[in-house]
This record gives sequence, C-alpha cells and structure tokens, in this order.
Amino acid sequence: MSSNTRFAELMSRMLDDAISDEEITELHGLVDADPSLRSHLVDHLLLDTLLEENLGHEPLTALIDTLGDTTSPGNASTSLPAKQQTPVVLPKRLGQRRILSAEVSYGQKYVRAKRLRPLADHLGSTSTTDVFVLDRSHTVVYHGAIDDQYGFGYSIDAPRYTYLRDAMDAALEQRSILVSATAAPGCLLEKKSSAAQLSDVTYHNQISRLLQRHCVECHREGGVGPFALDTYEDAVAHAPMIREVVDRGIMPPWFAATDKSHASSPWINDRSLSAKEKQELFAWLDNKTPAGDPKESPAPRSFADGWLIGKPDAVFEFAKPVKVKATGTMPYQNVVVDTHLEKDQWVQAIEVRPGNPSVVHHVLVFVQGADEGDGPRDDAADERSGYWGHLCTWQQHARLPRRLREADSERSSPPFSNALHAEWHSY
Amino acid sequence: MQNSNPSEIVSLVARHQARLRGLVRCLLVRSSDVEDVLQEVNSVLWEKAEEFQPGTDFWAWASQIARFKALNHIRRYSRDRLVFDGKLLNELADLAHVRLSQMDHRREALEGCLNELSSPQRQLIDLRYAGGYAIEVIAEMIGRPQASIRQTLYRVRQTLLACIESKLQSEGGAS
Repeated sequence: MSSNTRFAELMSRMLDDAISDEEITELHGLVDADPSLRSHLVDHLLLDTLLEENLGHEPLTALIDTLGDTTSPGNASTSLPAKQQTPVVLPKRLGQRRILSAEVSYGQKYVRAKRLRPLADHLGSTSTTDVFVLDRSHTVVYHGAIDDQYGFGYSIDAPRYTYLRDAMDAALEQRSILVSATAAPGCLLEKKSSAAQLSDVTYHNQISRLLQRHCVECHREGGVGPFALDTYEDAVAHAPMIREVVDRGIMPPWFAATDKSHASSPWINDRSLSAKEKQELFAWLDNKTPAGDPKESPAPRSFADGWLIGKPDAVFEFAKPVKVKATGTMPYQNVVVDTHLEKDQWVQAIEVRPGNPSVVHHVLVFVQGADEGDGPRDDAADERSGYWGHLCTWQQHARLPRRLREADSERSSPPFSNALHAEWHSY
Repeated sequence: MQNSNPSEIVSLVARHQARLRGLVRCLLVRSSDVEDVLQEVNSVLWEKAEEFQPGTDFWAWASQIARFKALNHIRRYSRDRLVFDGKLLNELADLAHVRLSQMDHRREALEGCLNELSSPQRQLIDLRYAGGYAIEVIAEMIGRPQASIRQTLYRVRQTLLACIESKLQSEGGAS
C-alpha cells in the first residue's frame, strides 16, 4: 500500500474522530517523512472546520450574539458594553457530554454567569441551579435540577434521582427522556420579558419545535391525526386551521380543569399550549408564517417502532379482535384483558395502541385488582373502583406521576394488577 | 500606551473565532478538545486585552496566543496520550497561519465549490456536516459499509480542496 493511500485512510479516520493512538503515531511517521503531506493534513483539518462552520448548526456563540447582553455588569472598567457580541464559545456537540452551565470562562470569574444571562433568559432559566441539556440542533431536551440531593428544607447523603445524568444518557442513546423537566431549587433569577422577540419567531427556530412538542405525536405519517404537521409545507398548508383550533382550545386536546391560582399546570402530562407558546404561534401566523433559517431547525423526532413511551416491558392484547361497523358510531365495547401477572407491579408509563387507529375514538382503561378477581369477573365492572387511566387516541400514552413508581412509596395498593379492563368507543 | 477599547477587542475576538478554531484544530489534530482550548484562548485574549495595540495586526497577536495555549494543552496531556512532537507542531502551526490569513477567500470559494458537487456527493457532505451524523449512522442510512463511506467522503473533500485552490488561483491571477 502506498504511503499516500495509507495517509488518506488515516486522515479520514481522524476527521471522523475514529483514530487510535497507534494510528496517530503512524500518521506522525508519514507526515514526518514527507513534508508535502503536512500541508495536506492542514488543508483537510481547515476544510473540516470550514464545512462545520458553513453547514453545521450555528455554534451557541451565534445564539448569544444575536441575543445581545442587556445586563449591566458592575465594574465599568472591565465591563462589556450593553449591546455587543459575546464570544463565549460553548461546546457544540452533545456527544461530548457537556453540561451547559455557568462554567464558561470569560476572564473574570464572577462575570461568567452574567455573560450567560442572555442565554439563560432565552432558555427560561428560573434559578441559579437550573441546568439545560441541548441536542446538537439546540433544542432543549432537559431543563431543571441536576439531581434531587438538595432541595428546599432538606438535604440527603446521596441523590435518589440523577435527572441530568439520566436525561443525557437517554439523549445520547436517542431514547425518549423519562423526566424532561424538573424544578431546580436554588437562588431565583429575575424573570425577563421575552415579548421583544416575538417578531423573530420563524418556523425553523421556534414553531417546528412547538409542533414537535405538541402536535406531531399524532399529526405525522402513520399517526392518528388526519394530516401530518412535521414539515414547513404541512404547517403552512394548515395554518388557518391551526389558528382556529388553537384559538378555540380544541387543539391540542386537553380538557382537564386548570387551577387559575397556579402559574404552572397542576397536571404532570398537561398537553395544552402555554400562554407563551400561543403567543409565539399566533405571532408567527400573523407574520405570514416565515420559514426562517433551516440551520436552526430541530432534529426530527423519531418514534421507535411506533411506541411513544419507548419499547415497553410488557404488551397486553385483546384475546380476539372486535369487529367494527363500516359506518356510523359504536357504543362502548367492554373487553377484559388478562395480564397474567403473578404479583403487583410498579408502572412507569402506559400506552394504548389501537389495532386500527383510524376507527378508534378513545379508550378507557381500568384495573381490576387480584382481590376482586376471585369471583366471576364482571365485564362491566364498577368504573369507580379501579379507575386507572383515561386514554384517548389523542392521549395515547401517559407517564405516571412519580409516586406511583417509587418502590419505597407508602401507597399500599400498587396500581398494576392482574387484569386490565378496557372500554373503547369507536367513531 | 493607548488602551484598547473593550468593545473593539470583543468584536475582534468574535470575528476571529473561525480562524482561531481552525488553528487550534490543526494543532490538536483530534477535534474533541478544540472547543475547550478555544474557550481558554478567548479568555486569555480578554485578560490581555490591554496589551493589544489598536491598529496593529490582531490576527498575528491572537494566533500567537492560540498557538501557545494549544501547545500547552498538548503538553499537559502528552503523558497519557501520544501526540505529535513540538517541531512538527510548530511547522503545522506555520502552515495553518498562512492558510488562515486567507480564510475569508477560502470560505467564499468553498461556497461556490459546494454548489458544484454532484448530488450524491453533496448529499454525503450534508449528512456528515449539516445533519451531523456519525459515519456508522450514514453507512446504515445509505446501506454501504463504513469504510466505503469514509473513502468517498475523503474523495469529496479532496475534490473540494482542489476546487478551492483553483478558484483562489484564478482569482489571484485575475487581480
């Protein structure tokens, strides 16, 4: 093999971050022996840098630049002007497992956090301990506490839940993140109004993410929604419809009562749009649905094998399929499904998947406990006794509140027992 | 000594990020620590802002500091990892310095060259750089072995480099 071919091979491995120490030594030998290879080496490394810069997602530097800095640092002689470019460079690849925190050095140690204020404001940071995990297209995939070792009024020897680590592991393995937001107890940060940025809302920088969060689970190819909403063209084609149904509160479907005295929803799986999200969406519609820069777009959401909760540990199916009328609607059908579980099990999440999503309107699932199972089973069991989940085609899955899955919970009756009772209703 | 204006330094540092990153990358060779070192370089540039004389060559000043920081970083981990030796590194830094002085021309030429790629070539470059996918993933997507993807990608890079050179030469000849 000629040294040039070998050089090419080693270079490609190096540009791909797949080079071993032995190969580095080998490359060194080649480059040392042949001066012309030195400029090849430099050329390739610089081209790689340029391509990353030209085609890759903007480094966070650019994000901070565009936000500017509206805080006024204390010391005038060393402070930066109010509106300037802030050359703070943050790690670009989530693959490097970096935590976005106030650790970015900017000369003066105590200036660090201040330099990050525009970013913190932009992301909606609430306290000094708030951490964010961003994927490589700058979508926030986790927001909240590092773990639960310290909280208001308590501290324990070791954390019970390592939220940040779990979120990063899940993100790196491209699994869905089980807990994607927590409260971060710490010194509270003053809230900044973000109204000024509404005119900058584009499909690629905000709306695509909003649709990913709230709509595309159903509105995608193969989803239960009647049309897809996962491309710019789809979103624009349905723009008037989107405005109408969001404005009237029909979509995203969420009819649970809200507690007006709370700033945030009391429900763990609240699907509704926040006031800020609605504001952004309407601003975008008012501005004639600008597309924006595709470089700012999020990574597409993936749905592994069609499961929204990730691959489940157990799947329970109807013993035999239920026939559906060709037209019209059908009343509730009561079906009992045996789980054959020998003892009670803790459950993290459940998902209902109709055999034919296009004919099912909603499904209600109840649990019949082991103690109720001794006698002949009543197919139309008392709905109040084991009410467990209200699962509709538009709420196909549910992550259960934390206490349901803690092994040390004091709850005496674990929810998942030996039989499920499903009632379903077709269109 | 005339003090430099902090906002001027900040904008100079910002404008030279790409060049500084390129220089650091050429010295570290592996891409993993580039952002860390670049951050260190930025913070040193800020600390030493007063030493910079406005109106003099910022790139000459900043690239010296970046080179020093990168070499320092390499020395720090050289006990655990194999690295290039100092003499070669300095030669690489000299080469990179010269190339990076024309960074803006190269960037411009690259944009034209990207548009001249065939569509399978462009697709590969897009998957790697715009999509940010690892070679294993691209290989799976396209259904070809990793080694072959690497090889093709390398050839596309060679094509781009040749194209950039020819554009720079014809530009140089014309002016």
